[in-house]
Amino acid sequence: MTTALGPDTRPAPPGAPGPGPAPPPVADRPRESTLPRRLAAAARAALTRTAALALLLALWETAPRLGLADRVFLPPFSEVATAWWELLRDGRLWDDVRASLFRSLTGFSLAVVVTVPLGLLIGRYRPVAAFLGPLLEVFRNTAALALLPVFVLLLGIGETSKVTIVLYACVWPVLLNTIGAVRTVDPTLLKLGRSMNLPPVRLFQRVILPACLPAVFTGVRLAGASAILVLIAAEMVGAKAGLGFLINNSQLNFAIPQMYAAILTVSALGVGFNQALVAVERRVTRRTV
Amino acid sequence: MTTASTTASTTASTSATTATAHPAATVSTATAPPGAGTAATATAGTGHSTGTATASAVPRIRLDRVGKSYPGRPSGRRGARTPTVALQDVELDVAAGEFTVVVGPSGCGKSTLLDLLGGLERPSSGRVLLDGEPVTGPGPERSTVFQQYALLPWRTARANVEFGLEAAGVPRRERAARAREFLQLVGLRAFEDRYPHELSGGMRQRVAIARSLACDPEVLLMDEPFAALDAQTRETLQDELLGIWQRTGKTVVFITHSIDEAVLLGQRVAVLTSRPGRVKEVVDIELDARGEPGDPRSSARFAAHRRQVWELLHDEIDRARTLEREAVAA
Ligand SMILES: Nc1ncnc2c1ncn2[C@@H]1O[C@H](COP(=O)(O)OP(=O)(O)OP(=O)(O)O)[C@@H](O)[C@H]1O
Ligand SMILES: [Mg+2]
Repeated sequence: MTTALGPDTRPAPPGAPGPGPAPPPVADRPRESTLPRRLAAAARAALTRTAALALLLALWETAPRLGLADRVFLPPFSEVATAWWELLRDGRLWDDVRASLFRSLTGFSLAVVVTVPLGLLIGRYRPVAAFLGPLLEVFRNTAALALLPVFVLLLGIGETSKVTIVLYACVWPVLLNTIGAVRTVDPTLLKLGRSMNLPPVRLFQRVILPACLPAVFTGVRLAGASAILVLIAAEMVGAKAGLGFLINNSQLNFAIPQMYAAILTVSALGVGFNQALVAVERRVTRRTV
Repeated sequence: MTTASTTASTTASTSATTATAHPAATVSTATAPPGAGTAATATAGTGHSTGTATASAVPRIRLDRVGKSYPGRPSGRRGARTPTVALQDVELDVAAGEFTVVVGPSGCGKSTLLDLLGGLERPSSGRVLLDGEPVTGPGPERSTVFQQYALLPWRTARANVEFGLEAAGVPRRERAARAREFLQLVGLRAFEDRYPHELSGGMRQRVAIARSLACDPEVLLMDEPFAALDAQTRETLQDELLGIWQRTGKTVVFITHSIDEAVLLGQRVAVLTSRPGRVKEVVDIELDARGEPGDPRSSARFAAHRRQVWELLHDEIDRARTLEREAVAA
């Protein structure tokens, strides 16, 4: 399930202390000796992480110039960057980004807020989970985009249908992961909780919820990815604003560098969104400690 | 520490009575005439041999023909469910303040027995009594060290120890101090901020022990608590445990696979049969030098008890192997 995610986006091990101080026995050593070493390590890490990207951009820049690719359909990266700057300056990019962000964030947040508690509840009651399981499986495997015409029919082509399709796409990964997480909480931990005589609410708060968080967050990040994916596709089909619309419209107008600029913006948005979710996950897991 | 002092004072008063009263009338107090005390205790115990140390009319723990079976998985072509009988007709009394060790072949139902005592499982037949009352669920007077440690992976060692104290409603400041004290006891003070995945198996086990001890329960249920430790650490902790037991008068039910450990720690060693587990025999251990300096392991009595338990156990282990082979063949 996590194969689609980059190497640095894997969930941190539960309660991982992060780049904290060294283990206790050497905690009182002076800071100066370790700081430069740590900076050097950070620089090296940054280099390894950006090297592949830099290589790709270099290839993108040179391939069209050397005639390895058709310059019309794949303009060099510098031209795309210029187009991107133009779009940013005249404010069009921001308008489209804002439209897309609003739709995806609304659908995504609604999905998470509704689905996580629902999943926790369903997972807690085995018969309910068994009863709903097949139904959820069917829904999850019904591609959200296949339902776009249905949503348009029912809700029109305005914002509602777009938010709804994002919502739909986000609900399933979160719901299924949450249910799965609750059902697979380590039984010895549940036993511990019971042996401590924890009341059900406490058991939930202190044991079940923290045990589920990593899996829930995997679901949330999957949802985050599909929120943007589905939205862009929906905007390409019928919209008057949004990044999907910008991509499609640029292509129709043969503004190829502009099209690539929009595509890159979508990628950046996706990466940024995922990073934000990872950061939230870190904070939340640390707070439940 | 309130529970500890109460228990300690109870023990103290008991021993005070013992000291002043007629030696034979250990428990049956003023009402029974001196000398008749032993007989009265024996009849009250419905024929069971009760503990030697502080025999009591109502044992702290009584297992009365306890059976436990788990629903089986559908197996074979016809999908027949044959239930697993883990325990059958288990009879065992544990007096207050007694250290009882349970040994038996793997899979004979020792952990199941502890779950029943902890109130985490209900017996399928028979009764589990605590101070004469049927056990209906877990309670703060009992604490278990689980065989699988059961540490919360998102909590540090110290926070894991505090977990039990939180549940018991100990105020925050006291929790931290108490957790440190018991981590110190198990030799993990320097590792209090580590997460379980940063600790070795033996260290995790020690955190689990610290958690149970910190709760200061009257009844301590321990499932192979020293199994993952090196010889030195194990000896240290065995001594600590004996010390705590002697100071506080806790009732301990202790499971182990080590015959040496059983003989060393237990006042009585209950040997279970292979599955379904029954009490095959309860061996009373009498070591002359318990708690005194010098290695009790080298005494002749120790060797004799060791041999006795070994023989009881090895017949059962052989039988368990044969049964298993037959089960596979069938
Ligand atoms: N929750 C359960 N569901 C079904 N069967 C169980 C369950 N728990 C235990 N059993 C079965 O009951 C029997 C006794 O298990 P138990 O864990 O009590 O053994 P044990 O004596 O503690 O073994 P070991 O020394 O290896 O820890 C085993 O055959 C086991 O398969
Ligand atoms: Mg066991």
